[in-house]
Amino acid sequence: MIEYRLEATGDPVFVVDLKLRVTREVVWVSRSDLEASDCLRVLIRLGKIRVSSGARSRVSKLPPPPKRRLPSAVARSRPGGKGVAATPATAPVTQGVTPEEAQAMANKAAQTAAENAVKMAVDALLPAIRAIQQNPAPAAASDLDLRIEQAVARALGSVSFTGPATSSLKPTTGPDEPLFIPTGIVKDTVESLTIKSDSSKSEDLDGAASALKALRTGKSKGKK
Amino acid sequence: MSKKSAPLGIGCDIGTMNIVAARRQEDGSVETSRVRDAFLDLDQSAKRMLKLSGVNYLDQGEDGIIVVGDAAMEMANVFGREARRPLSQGLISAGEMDALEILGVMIKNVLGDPATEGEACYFSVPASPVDADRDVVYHKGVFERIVTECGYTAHAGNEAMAIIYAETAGDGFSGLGISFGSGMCNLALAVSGVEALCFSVARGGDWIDAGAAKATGSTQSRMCAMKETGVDLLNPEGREQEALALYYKALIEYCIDQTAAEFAKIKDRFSLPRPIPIVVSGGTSMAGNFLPFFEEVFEKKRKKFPVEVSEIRHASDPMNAVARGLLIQAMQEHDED
Repeated sequence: MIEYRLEATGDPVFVVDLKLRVTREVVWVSRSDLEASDCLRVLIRLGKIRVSSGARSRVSKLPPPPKRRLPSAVARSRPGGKGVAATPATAPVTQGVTPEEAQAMANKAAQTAAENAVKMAVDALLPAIRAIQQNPAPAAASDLDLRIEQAVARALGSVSFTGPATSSLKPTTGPDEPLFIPTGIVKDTVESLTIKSDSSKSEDLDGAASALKALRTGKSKGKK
Repeated sequence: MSKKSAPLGIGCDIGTMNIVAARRQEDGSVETSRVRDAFLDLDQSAKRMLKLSGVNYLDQGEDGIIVVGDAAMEMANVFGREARRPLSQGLISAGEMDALEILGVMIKNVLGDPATEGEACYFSVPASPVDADRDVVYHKGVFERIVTECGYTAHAGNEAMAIIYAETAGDGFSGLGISFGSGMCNLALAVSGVEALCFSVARGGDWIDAGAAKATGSTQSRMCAMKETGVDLLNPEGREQEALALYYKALIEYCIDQTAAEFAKIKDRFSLPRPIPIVVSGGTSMAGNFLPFFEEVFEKKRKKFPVEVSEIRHASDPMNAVARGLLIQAMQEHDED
């Protein structure tokens, strides 16, 4: 599963629709969450959050060092109340989704939403236009313009501009990622190579083939 | 389309070091074809020399020329280079786009044309390694595509199970098959032809070469050459051979330990009615006195080994056992027609 790494570039920010607090410490989100969250996209565009792609390291981590119990006075003296030192900022990530790519994703989502809205508007307009065509009132051209304008206004009034649902962006191929296997690996004209060939007797092979056949036949009969 | 009277079906063992195909002939014999799974890219300037020495190569135009197979290993020594290997640790890596075309050429050459349209071809696929985060899905998909593009109906067959089919017919297809390959070791435990346990470890002949080379300050290719020209594991001579023997021992112990660990996970699910044989095979098992050496190492572990072993034996044809086992399975496809 592709996951994206989020880090706050400055102060911690809260992504409302994901209910996720992003600080300078790395937080991982799935691709579907990234694509579904409008807030996150906006924050990325504003440069509040840095996003990069990659896989979580599967190498087992070293066991955490034993916690050193601090004297309570020292712990209390730290700002923040818990006596925990601030985590250093992680190094900037050079690979992954750039702000431009995030912008492009956001634009694409907006375009899809706009297309859906237009489709819905047209669907809403069609009955009105049909009604006009069926009852052609002897009206002046200016009156016709006015009526069309009113019909459009009514139609648009019933359309709400919403972003695409999360499910529409989810991959249709299921949780497993599709595997790209290139075609045309074997060319029609293949150069001949020097191949070492050897010939040997096949009694063992014949015996094994017959035994395997008998075993399989026996098993299939047994099943019946 | 000339082999009409020979039995149909072909087996193809795709290994890190060699690609071997096995096919039955009209006279009943088994013909095996082998090509070294290696290539070397050279400049156009080397073309003349290769022509003079009669070496076949693939002309890539401005990108130079590519020498494939055994010649690549020989030319690598001539030019002081390391030959490139399309497979690493038994598997093709997703980023090796250059290697795909080379693999296509090699497999097409060892398989030849199918005897009939859609003739069955079983090709070997390793089991997922228990000690490395690599999966075999892409590997399997690539070779399925290559074999299909060669005109065959592709079937994937487990590498170690092929040894079971080729070597344990007399034991009712029950046994522990171990393929000591170059990139990895594949192991399968079968009971009456049913796969009970199947896994691989990402260590093999290359791991031995690398370890021994590091220990002695030598090179990996020198260790490989020493291994192939003959090393007596029971009587190693000199530091380098001793290092090789040490790493061989470590590899065998590792395989035995991993088998015990994997078996422990499934021991409640089935029972072995009688002792089973261990059959060892593969190019790495061709070292001198490998079998007694294996037995010696195993004896020290026998008490803790969870399976009762009747005997330990070498495959009758260790370099071709996997291809022969795959051939048996391919022939079954046509017997069922």
